Amino acid sequence: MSGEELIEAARKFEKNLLNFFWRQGVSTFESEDLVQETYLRLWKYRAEYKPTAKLSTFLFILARQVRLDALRRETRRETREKSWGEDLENPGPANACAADDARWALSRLTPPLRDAVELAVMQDMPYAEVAKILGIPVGTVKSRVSNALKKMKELFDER
Amino acid sequence: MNADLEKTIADLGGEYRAVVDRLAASPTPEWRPVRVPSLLKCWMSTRGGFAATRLAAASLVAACAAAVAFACAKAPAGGGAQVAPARTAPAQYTLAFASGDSRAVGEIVKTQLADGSWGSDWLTRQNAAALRLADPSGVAYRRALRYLRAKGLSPLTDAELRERASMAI
Repeated sequence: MSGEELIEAARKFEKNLLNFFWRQGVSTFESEDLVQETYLRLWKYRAEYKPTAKLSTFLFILARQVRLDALRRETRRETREKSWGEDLENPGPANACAADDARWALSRLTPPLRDAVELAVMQDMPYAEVAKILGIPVGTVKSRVSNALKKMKELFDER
Repeated sequence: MNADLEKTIADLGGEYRAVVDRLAASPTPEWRPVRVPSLLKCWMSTRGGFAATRLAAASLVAACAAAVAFACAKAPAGGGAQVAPARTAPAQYTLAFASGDSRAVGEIVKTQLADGSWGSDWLTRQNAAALRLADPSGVAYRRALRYLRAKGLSPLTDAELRERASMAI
């Protein structure tokens, strides 16, 4: 698969990627930037993609790296923490939005649980694929999804 | 809903289906499609004339400076040695990029002409190579992409990007 074909095939995940970043507490504007970065990184590392693997798996691995890199940059700068740092690290009532259940509830999960729910529930990926992206065993994915759903049910019940 | 999640819900209890449904029903931002990978399509399209004028002026100044420098240069001792042929001076932004200044990425974008080139084959190859190797997470790079999106300008197509990459030295 050529680089062009790879990018074209990956374009159907644009919306998924945007939502992936956005639900992590990133602003829409920043999310769009991160989607762009993900595609640029896909282009950069296109030679490493093996057609036998699922493209979405490869793409979300890159997306996670992009998000982590962006978080590190933001943390270093310490100038824009409020744009999303607070959302991720110290979710508080001020960040809650009544019309935004998923984002609100996800912001109250720990990062490992949030990742598991985002990929397995919001992106509707099989656990095996989630396990590859997160680099953890399938059983761990299952337990994280279970724990996250329990926690979210509590949150929704309290709300 | 995939089979794995169905099984998890079945294990947890039917009431958790409502949790998943509630999550799935949450609104998401509207995606504004852009071309990807958005490598730098002349945001100078509206300023092409200005860019060309600026490039021409810069070239003229550089040529004059080179001529003066050449005229003032002393012959090497021994007199018989050959003077190395003068090489076209690379643009400042290319040098800046080579020195690792990420701002140069923004400068490269700014100076790209409406036809996608930088005015000469050599400079186009240099800048295309520089952009190809640029860190896409760089601040200048992201600002350039943001600018393109805000202006609704088309970024480079994938074919163009590939062509540029193959052109790179």
